[in-house]
Amino acid sequence: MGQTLKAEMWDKMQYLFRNYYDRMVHCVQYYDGLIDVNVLKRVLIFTTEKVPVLHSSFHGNVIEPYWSVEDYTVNDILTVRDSVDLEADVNAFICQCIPVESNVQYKMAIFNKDGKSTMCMIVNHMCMDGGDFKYFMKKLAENYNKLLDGDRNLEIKTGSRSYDAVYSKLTPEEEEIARGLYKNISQIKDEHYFPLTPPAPQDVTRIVRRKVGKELFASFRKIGKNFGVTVNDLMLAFYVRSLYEIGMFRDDERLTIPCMVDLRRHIVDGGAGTGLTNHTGFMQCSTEKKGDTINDTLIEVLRSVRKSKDDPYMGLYSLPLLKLAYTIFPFVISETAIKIGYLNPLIGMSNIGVMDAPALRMGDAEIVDGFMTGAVKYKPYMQLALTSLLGDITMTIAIRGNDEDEKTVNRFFDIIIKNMNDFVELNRDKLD
Amino acid sequence: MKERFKRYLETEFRAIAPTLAAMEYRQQMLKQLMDRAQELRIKGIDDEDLIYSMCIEELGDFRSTLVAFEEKEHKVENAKRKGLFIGVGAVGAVLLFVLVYLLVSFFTRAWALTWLILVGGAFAGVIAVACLLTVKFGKAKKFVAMRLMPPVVIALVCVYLFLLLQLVFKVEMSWLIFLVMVIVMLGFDTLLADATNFKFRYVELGVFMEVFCVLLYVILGLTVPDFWHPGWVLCLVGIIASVIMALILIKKYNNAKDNKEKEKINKKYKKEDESYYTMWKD
Repeated sequence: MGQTLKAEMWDKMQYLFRNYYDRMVHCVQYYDGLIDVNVLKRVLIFTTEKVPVLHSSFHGNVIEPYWSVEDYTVNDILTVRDSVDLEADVNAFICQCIPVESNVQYKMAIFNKDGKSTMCMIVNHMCMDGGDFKYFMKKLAENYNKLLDGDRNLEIKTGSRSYDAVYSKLTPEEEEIARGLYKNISQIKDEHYFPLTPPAPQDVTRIVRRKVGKELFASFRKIGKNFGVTVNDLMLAFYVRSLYEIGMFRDDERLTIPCMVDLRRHIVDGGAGTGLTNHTGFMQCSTEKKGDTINDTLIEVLRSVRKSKDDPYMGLYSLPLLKLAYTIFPFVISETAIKIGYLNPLIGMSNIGVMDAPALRMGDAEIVDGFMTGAVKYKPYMQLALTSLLGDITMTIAIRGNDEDEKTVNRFFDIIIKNMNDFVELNRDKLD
Repeated sequence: MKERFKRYLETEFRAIAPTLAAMEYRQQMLKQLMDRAQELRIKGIDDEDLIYSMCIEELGDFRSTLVAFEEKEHKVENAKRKGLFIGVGAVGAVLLFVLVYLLVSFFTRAWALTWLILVGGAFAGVIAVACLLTVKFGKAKKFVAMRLMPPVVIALVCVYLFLLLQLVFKVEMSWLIFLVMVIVMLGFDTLLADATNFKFRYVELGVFMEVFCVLLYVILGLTVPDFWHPGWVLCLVGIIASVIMALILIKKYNNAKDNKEKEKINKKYKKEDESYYTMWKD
């Protein structure tokens, strides 16, 4: 038997989530020049060697699952091709799924067209979340640039992948409290569905995306700044209001949306010393009513998120409960028990955040567009993912569905954009 | 705006002691005010002075709120820890009783009797809970609920005593214990009624005396030969005792009233005051 790695708590949880989504995290980066594939290959080999979980297969052993380190070649990871229909190639690549039994847990493609490269990457969510995926892409570019400059001191973080790094920034008293937060927050029931068609065998993976537009984004961000609210608060308000409108929920209904939060806020140095892994929790955003105007919806959102923001233990609830279940039971029993106790949210939002354009430069090739998105949800689940790059936001909804569902998602994006415009119109005086 | 709220809060909080809790409360209030101001701005009010006055006005009588905050009693929140201790203690006690039961049973081979150990354990558990509830209800001044607990304890003790006397010591007429049980129950309740100043405590005392005499008559009648006659006179003793008690109470009441009247008369006819020469009602 070759080298094995311990399956950490979040690896097991993400494995459990195979029941709700395809476990892939996706990234696409468009460049205005060509990427040197030979240099990129060296960086990929360095990174993969340094992070063994990336070239391991997962074994869902009934007692204790584990990763088994596998042999690989860089060709298992990287595909390079000239493209005729770039968008078709990109979509075909990012819509695939890497099985847990695969010898590598991430794949990358470089599509070259008209002297420009497009870099696509998918990675098993069990290996890392959006937060570390952003770090990974930045380090990839940084190491690539180092090699181009003749610098051989490549870097990638290789620390612990354990979930309990989230307690590292807390005082001993706070840690004691945090380790006692056994409350199951997934049990906050919200039975509002996004109006997708029922699941069918002919459903296919679709990553539907829409850009907000630089001008509109700049406008509502400026108004938000004037009001002292974050882009995340604004996006939540637009999202919630649009859900009321597309879902045809009653205006006075309570709507609860979980919003993913990066738990690295609780880790020393923001997790710079930990390994690539998942550190994601969620906060609940509950609005009591839709509100007459988009501003009223924003107030509803603020009232809810303030409670979470003021909580020093935001996102840390339920972790001790999961840890306890995985510790005292064999894996097969703990997974069943957690599956019974865990209610996967029907509608969610994940703000992956800013993609740092200068940091993503690959030699002379500047990034001109791109986005990241989370896993492809199985109906009836859905999640809106957001990334911002070069002063624009890309909204993404990844689902397994049919043409009808894609139309619904596009209609939903239209409603969100309309609400953004309504907000700007309503508060135009704040732009002056 | 933030500075204005800060100044306001610093002034107001001088009304209470400068404790750590007060400081934290002040911070919390500042956040609450800032949040409210933000909401008002989003609603469309752009006059900062108006926002300030609206926010302050919404606090209501803030000085009273602060005083109430200071006077609020703070206790150690140890209910969970106590609960855990009691829970583990209960499990330990159950296991101990089972262990003792098994050991005694294996050693004496008296399986027909040793089950009394388990019953005793179960009764002890219920009695412990009833005692705890008695204290809890007593502290909370829920006297009716409190007085319901001792009869449970007395009933269980009597049942267990009966089982022991009947099965282990083979005492004849051990069922008489149930007659004693009624006396003890009523007697204890009468004591509690007096201790808690129950409105009808003297009525209950009268009832107790009569019930005591009647049941004593029955017990003696069953156990002492030829007691039935003239032992029935004992029932009259209860009534006489009640009448005597009533007389004593009436006497006490009359004395109290007389003393009050005397005090009034002394104040009116004996007490002299120079101002009475010049005092007019108009």
